[in-house]
Amino acid sequence: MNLQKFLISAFPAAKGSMIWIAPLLVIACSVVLFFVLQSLPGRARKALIASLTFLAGLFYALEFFWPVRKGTDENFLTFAVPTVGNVINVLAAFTLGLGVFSLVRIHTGKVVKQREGWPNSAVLLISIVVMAVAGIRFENTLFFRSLFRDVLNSFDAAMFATLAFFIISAAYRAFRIKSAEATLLMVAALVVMLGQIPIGQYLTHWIPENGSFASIFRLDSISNWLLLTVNAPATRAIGFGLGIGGLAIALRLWLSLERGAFFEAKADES
Amino acid sequence: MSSFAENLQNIDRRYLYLTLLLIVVIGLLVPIPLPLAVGPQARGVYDAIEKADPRKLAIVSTLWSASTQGENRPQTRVIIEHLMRRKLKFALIAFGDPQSTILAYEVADELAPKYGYKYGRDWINFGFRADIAGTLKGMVRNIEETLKQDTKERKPLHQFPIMKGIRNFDDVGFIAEVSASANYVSWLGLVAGSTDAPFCYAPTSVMAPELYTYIDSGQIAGMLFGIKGAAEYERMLGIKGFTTRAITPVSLTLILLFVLIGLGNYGMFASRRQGGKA
Amino acid sequence: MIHASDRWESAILIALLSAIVLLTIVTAQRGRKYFVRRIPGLNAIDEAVGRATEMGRPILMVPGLSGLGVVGLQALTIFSYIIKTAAQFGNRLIMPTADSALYTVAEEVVRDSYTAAGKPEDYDPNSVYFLSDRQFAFASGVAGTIFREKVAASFLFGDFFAESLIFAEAGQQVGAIQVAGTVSTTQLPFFIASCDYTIIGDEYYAASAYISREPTLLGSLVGQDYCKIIILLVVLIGTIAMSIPALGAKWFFIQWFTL
Repeated sequence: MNLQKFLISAFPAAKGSMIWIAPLLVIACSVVLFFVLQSLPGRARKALIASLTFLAGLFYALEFFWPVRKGTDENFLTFAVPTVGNVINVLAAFTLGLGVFSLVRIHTGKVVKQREGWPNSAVLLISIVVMAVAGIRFENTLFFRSLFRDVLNSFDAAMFATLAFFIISAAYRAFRIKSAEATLLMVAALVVMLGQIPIGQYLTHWIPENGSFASIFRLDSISNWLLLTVNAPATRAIGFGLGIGGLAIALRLWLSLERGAFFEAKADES
Repeated sequence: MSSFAENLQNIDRRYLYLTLLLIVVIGLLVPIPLPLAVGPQARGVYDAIEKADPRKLAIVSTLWSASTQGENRPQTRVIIEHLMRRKLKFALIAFGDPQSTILAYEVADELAPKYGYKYGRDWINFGFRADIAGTLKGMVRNIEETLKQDTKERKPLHQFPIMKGIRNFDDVGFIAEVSASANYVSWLGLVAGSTDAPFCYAPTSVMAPELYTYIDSGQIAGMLFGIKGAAEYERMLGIKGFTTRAITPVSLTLILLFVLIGLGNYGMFASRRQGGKA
Repeated sequence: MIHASDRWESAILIALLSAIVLLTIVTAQRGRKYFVRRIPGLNAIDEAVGRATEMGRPILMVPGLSGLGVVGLQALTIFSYIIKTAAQFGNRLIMPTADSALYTVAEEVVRDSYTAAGKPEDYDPNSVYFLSDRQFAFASGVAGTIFREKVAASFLFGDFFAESLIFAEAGQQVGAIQVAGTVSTTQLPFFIASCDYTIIGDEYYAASAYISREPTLLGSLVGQDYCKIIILLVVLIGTIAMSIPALGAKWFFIQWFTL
């Protein structure tokens, strides 16, 4: 029997009052499950965590490797990908609640006990409330648009703009010619930067832009060559290493082989 | 007492910040009228739009917010303006940041009257989608089924004339992503194999070096390298917009950087000669 | 490419590389000894913790904008080692997070690391907190913390974007010793310019093996190196083949790897 049809028939869409009862039942079951998990001995918990992790990973691995039906882009598991994605989104939404709770707890404590810097915490708490109310109740008003676009956007842009100042001071400090390699790097950096700006390009503007052998000696051409022929292979090499490193750690997590990490430590608790 | 050479190695960062601020302000007020050479990457984007099939849909994807609008807004603007000049119908879609869809829509909406572009007939806004992988996978199969409705009028996509005959990426003739992030991985991994449409990228300057790998392999047809790329594009389009003016402070800032690096190194060598700290 | 059947060649390569990594893990677990060098950035962890102890100022750990994925979990594994070291000396820790899912796990990692170090009573529940999932709100929050707390050591491990330099320069301004590691190659130049030690590329994923010397992780690391040799061979064969007119782009091997 087709898995999708079987699941639809086994779990028909909730209607009427079941729309409310079903989520409540799920919450109740989750609470029970939470306490059951807490009371499990370490060995059982380890096996449970490993099995669930394996199953979750197996779903995506199978969905990827199982051949698709002829004439379609789907196999017998593809239909469930959005549902599994929704499960992940729901989990993320719950953790967002925990995150906001953490933020409010810490800063409320600061305000109540009037610890150092408590006015900042008070501003933060007020901002959270005002922004949340504006977003939920007054989404299509000037009030919300002003907060979102005039205040938040401006703050965002201002923070990004500080990077220009930081780059200047960091580059000034870091670019010291202390070795042959450092000299080579600095010359390359100067050529790339000069090749990007009109003032730099002006230095070799008398060489034709295209259509001549001499064009390759223009600063913008040398800069482009450095980015394409020297920078790109280095980036690609780092990319290969990162890809394989990511594959290895994903395998270790999927098969619960990761030692010393969080899940291993949790599983070993008794 | 520290020598002049030692001081050159340790200029107070507040003086650096102040100098930079002055240079940026002066650069914006007094632009230096020097032409910018058009590089092969910007030309790649231009050629891709020039060669795009007018019967097909162009997609402009955006992932940027107010923070990077200095670079990403002019990039979005020049790409949309070129699409409009060529009378190509296009759709906007946004990922990563909900701000992105509002900001990109503003750009298109502002340009539309100049080229007689009508919403729903010549262009459409697919809006913000949180899940890029799921959305792109779905669009590969069927755009209408995946996205269902537009963001502006919240009507089913099939009700818009622009969507007539558009089923999936086979009916897309050009794709560009203007981004402050590394979304190209999703586009190249999930979409590139399912369409013949050229894929172009317009990242911030910081992100750009990473993209050369894919330009070299031919997976990315063209790229606008930050604000410089947008300025090159303005030159190709024959317009003098924000980036043509903004390239002056960018140039002056880099000159300041060269001067500071030179001073720091001079200080280091002079100090060594004097037997001081290097 | 959405399914393996879209391109079996790539799928087979993924399976082959996975098999190599798993094989070396198994051989390492069965007692085969592998050697790996230490890397300076990770040696600096002890130095940074020691300095924080001398100065009596806190240690900052930032997992960047990482979510609950391999990058974020690897950051927590490295932080766990740092916490265990710091707990021995009674250093105060600060860990702001930008992802709420990672925050919940991070909180437990910090608590468990204190317990593992034998100092569960030193754990401060306020040391790990969620700040904001907006990039620059998080950046300004962390930068503010660095300035206010005048942190002695700053560890930046995880996914970083434009905010990387804000953290690194703020740390530099307060004189903190800084160790950074990220998979975001575009941010590496900023870390190298501003931090004392930077872990580059796949060293980030290898860090836990370097730190713990655990056979499973060492085996995995050696497997990764074998995989890199295979990729290197593919590149080499491809380069030679493309240089020989008789083979060229139409040769079956090149076709395998052509999109």
